[in-house]
Amino acid sequence: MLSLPAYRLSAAGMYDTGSGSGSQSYVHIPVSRSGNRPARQYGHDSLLLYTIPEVKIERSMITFFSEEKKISTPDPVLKDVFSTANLGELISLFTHAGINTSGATGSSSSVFYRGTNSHQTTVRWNGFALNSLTLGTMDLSTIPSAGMQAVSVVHGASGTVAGSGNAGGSILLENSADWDNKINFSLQSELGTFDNQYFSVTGKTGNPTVQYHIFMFSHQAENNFRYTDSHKSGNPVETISNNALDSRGIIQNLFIRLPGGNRLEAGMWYQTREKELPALMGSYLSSQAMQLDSTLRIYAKWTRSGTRSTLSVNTALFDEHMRYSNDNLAGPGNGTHESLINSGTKTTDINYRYWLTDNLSLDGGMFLSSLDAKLASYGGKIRENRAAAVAALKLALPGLTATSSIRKEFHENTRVPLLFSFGARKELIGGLDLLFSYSGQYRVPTFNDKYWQPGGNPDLLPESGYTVDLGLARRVKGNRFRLKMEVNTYMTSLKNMIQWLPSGNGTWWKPSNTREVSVRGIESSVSLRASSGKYDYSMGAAYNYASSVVRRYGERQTAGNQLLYVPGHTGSAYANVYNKRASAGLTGTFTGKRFTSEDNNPLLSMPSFFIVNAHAGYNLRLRDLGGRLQLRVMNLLDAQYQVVRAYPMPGRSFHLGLTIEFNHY
Amino acid sequence: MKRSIFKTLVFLAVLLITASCGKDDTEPMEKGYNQGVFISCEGAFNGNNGSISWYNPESDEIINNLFLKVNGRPAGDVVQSLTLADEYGVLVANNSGKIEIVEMETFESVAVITELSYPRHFVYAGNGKGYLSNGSAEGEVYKIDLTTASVTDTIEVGMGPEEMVISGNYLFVANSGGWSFDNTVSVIDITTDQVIKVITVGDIPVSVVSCSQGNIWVLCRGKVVYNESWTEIIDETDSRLVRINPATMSVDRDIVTGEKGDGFNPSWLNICPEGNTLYFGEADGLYAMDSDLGTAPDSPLITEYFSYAGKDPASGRIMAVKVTDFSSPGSLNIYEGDELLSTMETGIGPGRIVFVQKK
Repeated sequence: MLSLPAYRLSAAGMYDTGSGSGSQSYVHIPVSRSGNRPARQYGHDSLLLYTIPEVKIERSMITFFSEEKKISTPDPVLKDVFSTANLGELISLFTHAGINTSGATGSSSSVFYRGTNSHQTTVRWNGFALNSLTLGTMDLSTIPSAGMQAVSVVHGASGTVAGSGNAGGSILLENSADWDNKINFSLQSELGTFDNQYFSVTGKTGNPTVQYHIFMFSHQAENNFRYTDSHKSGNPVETISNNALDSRGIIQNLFIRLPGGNRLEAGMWYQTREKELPALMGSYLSSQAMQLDSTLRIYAKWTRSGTRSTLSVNTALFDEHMRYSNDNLAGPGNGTHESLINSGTKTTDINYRYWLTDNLSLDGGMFLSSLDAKLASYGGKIRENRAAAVAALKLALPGLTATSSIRKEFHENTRVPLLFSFGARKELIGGLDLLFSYSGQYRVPTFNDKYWQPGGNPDLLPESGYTVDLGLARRVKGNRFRLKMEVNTYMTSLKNMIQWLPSGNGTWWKPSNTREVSVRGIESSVSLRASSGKYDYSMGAAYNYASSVVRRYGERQTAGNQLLYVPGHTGSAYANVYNKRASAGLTGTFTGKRFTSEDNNPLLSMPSFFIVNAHAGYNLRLRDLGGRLQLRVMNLLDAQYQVVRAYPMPGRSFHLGLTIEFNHY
Repeated sequence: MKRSIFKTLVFLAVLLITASCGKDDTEPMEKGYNQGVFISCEGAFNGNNGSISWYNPESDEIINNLFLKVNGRPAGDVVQSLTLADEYGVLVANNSGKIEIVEMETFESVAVITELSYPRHFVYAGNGKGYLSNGSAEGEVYKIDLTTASVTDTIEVGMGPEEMVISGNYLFVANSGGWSFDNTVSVIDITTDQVIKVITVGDIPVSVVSCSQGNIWVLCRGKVVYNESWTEIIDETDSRLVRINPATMSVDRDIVTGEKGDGFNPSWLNICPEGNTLYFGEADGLYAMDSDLGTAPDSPLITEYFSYAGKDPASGRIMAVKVTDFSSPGSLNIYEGDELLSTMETGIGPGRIVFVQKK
């Protein structure tokens, strides 16, 4: 059976990617939102039913204990249309994410949520944290969206179940098996403005007991766009140089179902990226800087599901290398500057979930990790061993879910406080839920904070604090539409935040736990999916306000200035119309004014910007093959803007893509 | 249903398309900048927020981001220095690879000299001519014609040339070594633009001034070499003040200002308007030294570290600047002797002070 990637409302009210009768990409197993076991009260609220691959019934601890939190997932149309984009580009379209990026496709981009900084958002691939050991952040531009079957964001994930650095949120990337699949093969290519070329191959094959996935991609771009250099005399229009990208990678996954409720899963992700780093605006120097990243990530999982319990053992090995070079750092003929960073992570965790009653479950988890990094500024190789223990309880009654959890982390050189979290989700009236949570938060110092020479401070305390969250979620279901509205208010307090300040006589810089930040904000979103019979529609809008006030900075109290680069206002909107034949839509993102200096000097602030993208696609059928021809127009209004000061962003660009797909069920 | 959804789509599309961008907060300033105290602020490396702060002693007010306010664009990345050249000022922006020539009366930029690989400091020789040190390794001094805003000659000097001073017909260039090592001062005859002598001084000479007796004082930071793992200092030398006699073109005084092992390397030297008191920052504070006596004082004048300091010729007060960090404003601290009179915010990363007296 062959299928096209049309998006239809499934019988369960959610989306699948099947194309029609008899075709089914996912196994539809009704699972109550308040538990990971087949629901006993099917009629409780059909809109809250999950449509998920069977293997993912055993949800990760983070999502299982985040019922009372806002969780965002991309609209299926958007995820497909922007499948050639990197995760940073995709995620800004459907969440309240703040993305700091220093240029065009492939430029380093870090993400932050809820008025915090990018150290407070963790990115996880199949449960394993990807954030850099040395910097504490994750560069989303290195993650190909198409390589992930599912992307979701848990806003303000609790530190007890999500670990270090989640006050902003957790981004969860998952690969999962479709057990009904026999052969699925697709080729995707895209050509775009600024010499942008993308090509990927996706293959999935297997049977109801074994599934194998492979995804390979290649992405090259010159990124030689023109921009107005408002930092130069006369505001000349220039073409940016030394901005090219060359990225290639492969992701493979193997899923095996064994008798007795046993499942095995393994994955490998290897990727390289070469990115030239352009000169900043206003500069008359030609940059020859370049960054080369290569990463190898391997994981394996074993899960055993019984009638009342689930045991999973997960292990991963990550190896990362980064080389920065600059042949022209100080002018022609002055030699090459080069720095190397090598880091490795070995981690193993064991999770056990036991159902004490039909409505009450107890989770226990143990996490062990060995981390090492080697760079010249550390004086050699540094290794740290860490361990953590977690216990969590969840009560799932009709119309009420309550969770509580506790975590203790053990580090060789850093004392991490005991953390608590609790929360509840209560259905007030049909389709209207009240959400409340208190989450303990912490972030351990990065390797740079502790070991960088000179200045690194091994005695740093972890950043610590809490988040209180209160929200309402409303879902309305009609015969031909689904409406979802959410509004969340939150308050986050972070103490002992790490900042690098000049030492007493200015000789070098040193990190210390001398910053306090208080964040208050509101997140609101609405999404609508509807069908008129001939056409289907999906649309949504989101608005976020965050007041991130620096309460203490160094040795002084502050007047309450906004955190650097954190906008007060952000918003996004999208609208898509589609049917089996074609699709079209618009997306827009708004980012408010941001400050780049601690005194919030308006002269050095970054103005707000608004970016509109448009897309249109036509589905093709040619005998046994399906496919789609697609045009994307990015930055439709050709806005001239910067996300990071003095680094111009590209203007309008066109991307023409062709996808050919072969499915056999 | 279908119609209402289409209306919604149209509404959203219109909403998306009609949004606008933010406004520019820059406001024009008045004229009258040909006097006062100018502070060049480096800003954050790669932040393009280097700036000039202007302190008006008459009104006791400071205006930050003066260049940006007047010219509508940032002064540059790592604003190294500002030098007075008759009715013009020459602003060196190191990581922008440029120098801006501004008219002091209005502070409007009138010309930009570009394509400079690593500009550091400018010294004015009169008649529209000046010299610019350039290079982080093998260095050169560019001869600059301000009237045509062009480089007219290149003179090769030592490694990493930094500050320079003109005494008579000679230009003394401190060769700091840049990212390497040097311990010399190049002497250029500015009538021929030829290097006539290279004088060995202390290790890492960075700052140089001329005193009232005509002697040249050179601040040498001292060498610090770490082991490969940056955990241990394996080679270190004292920081020194070295005096060059221009008549003999040789060193006639050598004073240790900071002994090796003190964990500090001074970075600047200044001299009072009368030319007989040297100021320099050491590990334990700001020192003032009588250049005639030529002996190092036992204790600092002010026990605080500053990134630069000098004596205002108009008021006789010590003005010292301090870096907070490179995302916050720095500070200008005004002293009467060792008594702090006032403190006010400057731009980010203040590094040099220029006093301009009303003519």
